[in-house]
Amino acid sequence: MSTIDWLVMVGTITLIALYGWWKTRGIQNIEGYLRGDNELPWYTIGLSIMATQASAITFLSTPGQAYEDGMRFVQFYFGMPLAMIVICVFIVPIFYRLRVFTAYEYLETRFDLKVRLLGAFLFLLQRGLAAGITIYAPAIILSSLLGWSLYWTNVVMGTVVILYTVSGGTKAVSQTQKQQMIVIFAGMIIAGILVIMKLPPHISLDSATSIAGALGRMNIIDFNVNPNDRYTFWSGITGGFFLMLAYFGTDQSQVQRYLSGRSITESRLGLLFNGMVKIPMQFFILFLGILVFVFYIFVKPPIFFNTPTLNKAKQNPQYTAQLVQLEHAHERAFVSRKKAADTLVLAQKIGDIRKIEQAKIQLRSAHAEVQKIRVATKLVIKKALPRAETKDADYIFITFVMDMLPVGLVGLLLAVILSAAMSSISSELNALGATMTIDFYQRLFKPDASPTHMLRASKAFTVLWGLIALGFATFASLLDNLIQAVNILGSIFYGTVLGIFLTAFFLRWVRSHAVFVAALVAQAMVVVLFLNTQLGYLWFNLIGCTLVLVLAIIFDPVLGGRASSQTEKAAP
Amino acid sequence: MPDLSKPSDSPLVQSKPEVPQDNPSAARSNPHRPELDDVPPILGSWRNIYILNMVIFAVLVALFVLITRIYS
Repeated sequence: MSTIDWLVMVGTITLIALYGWWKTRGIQNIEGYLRGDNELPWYTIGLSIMATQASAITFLSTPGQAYEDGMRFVQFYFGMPLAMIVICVFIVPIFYRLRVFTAYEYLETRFDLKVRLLGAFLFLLQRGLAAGITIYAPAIILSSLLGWSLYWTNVVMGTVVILYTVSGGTKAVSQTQKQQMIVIFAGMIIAGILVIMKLPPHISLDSATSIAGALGRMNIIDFNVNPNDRYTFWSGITGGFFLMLAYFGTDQSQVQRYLSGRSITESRLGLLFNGMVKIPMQFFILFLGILVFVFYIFVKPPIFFNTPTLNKAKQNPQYTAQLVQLEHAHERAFVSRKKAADTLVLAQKIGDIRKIEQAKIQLRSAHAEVQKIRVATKLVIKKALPRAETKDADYIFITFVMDMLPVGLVGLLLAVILSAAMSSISSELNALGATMTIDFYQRLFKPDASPTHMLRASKAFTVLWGLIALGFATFASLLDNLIQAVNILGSIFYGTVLGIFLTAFFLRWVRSHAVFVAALVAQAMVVVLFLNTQLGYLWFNLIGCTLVLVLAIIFDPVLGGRASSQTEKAAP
Repeated sequence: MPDLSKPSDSPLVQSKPEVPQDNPSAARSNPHRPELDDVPPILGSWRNIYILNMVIFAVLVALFVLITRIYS
């Protein structure tokens, strides 16, 4: 990496952090620290919500996901627009009227303390673990680029983010996220333009898309009803809807973002802005992966994108010859595939349908050969380095950035990834600290603590959760594709939490003991299903949520508990 | 250990019922709680804004179906 790239990367990140600090200097109260003094306009809320969801994982894994699996991942976000509307209609007004710091406070108003603590506990559990993965993702890039140990990269990255988050509070988080999103949008647009410019002169955008389509990468919409398929229209619109409803409606890292708005109107507009922009944004990031995929049909890609691991495997003398042989075979297969792609483009230009179909068959066959060699290489690497991670999807986009982009833009793209990481981690740590402070520490042990004491406690708990996330980040390398790992983790817990909240909102007669036991049973059943079935993970949101609702209705006549309070009954 | 079946009595988490909860128009104009303002800035009502949101989604899905059919 050149000095200019370092200057661009460090300069961008430092300027954003300084801007956040300057805009929020002098925050001395818990209202400002946790709710931003209710000053934020809709566009800051909207960008902040998007920045919280779009972590470094989004920019590392998503193009890799498109490269390996095509565009169908975009369906994951199909539940979002409707979820945003439901949250705007039912959830935002209740949270505003009750003037809560955390979403879980509402559960005590509606049910009782144990339900509130259960909701808050499930949030802490899954978000604490997810925060670990959020720290780990950019650490892979840096360790891979600079040859540092992954462990120490995690530690240094995590420590920097913890310090930044603790000093700022929620207002600084939102203000910096606005700038970070501007850098992210600019960086991704520039990257998109450059990938198109890097394609061979005879490959137009239409030809590139056709090649990707012939190789099954333009599968944006899939109406297949098989529940074992992870990404289909139906899983997105149902499971995705429940996941988004749970994430934006009950996850404190998001609730805290829109509760810092000037008014209900500003929060609603921020959420709806997110609902409208998120799907096109994900489409664009996935399409970037498709363009990188087509680019590597014409420019020889590495046989394995995690090059340091490949080189390490080659150093094992028992497997060196085998890997070199595979590299030669890969070279030959690449040339055949490139030739087949050229033939397809030519046939399309002539417009001969028979030749187009023949060329497509040839291209698919040549691509299958390349894939076969890649799979064989991964098996050899696994034998040479039994502890090595052989999934290289997360390295694809960053390899392209490092190898193909000009000086200066490499630094900008790294700043994009680091900005995304910082924005997500800061929101998560901020929310974890807030929940720990308000729902556990203040509620259980210090009900009469002064605001100054609570501010100090909030900062201390943010540090504590930062350290826990850091600990978990150390083990994240054992997980599959990173973005899927975060989403799977979310889906296991979100269904139950959402079930509790939906019971609170819509099943007004159900009482506290019933919903509490229903949530425990539902969570146990979801974990058992996850461990013993091959169900697509998005369905766990629907299953967990439905189980809570149904079981709460069944248990209520037997278990009962406390009914809604007067204050809560007044809410819409 | 606190009683798990009683609601919070903390000054930090108490609701502030100065707004008449059963009267939405009062919430819109309440000078003590400006954050409860929920007047839609465009299209006349929130319902119309939500419909716009869903129309944009439907257009996107239709576009995606078209792209999938053309290129797959």
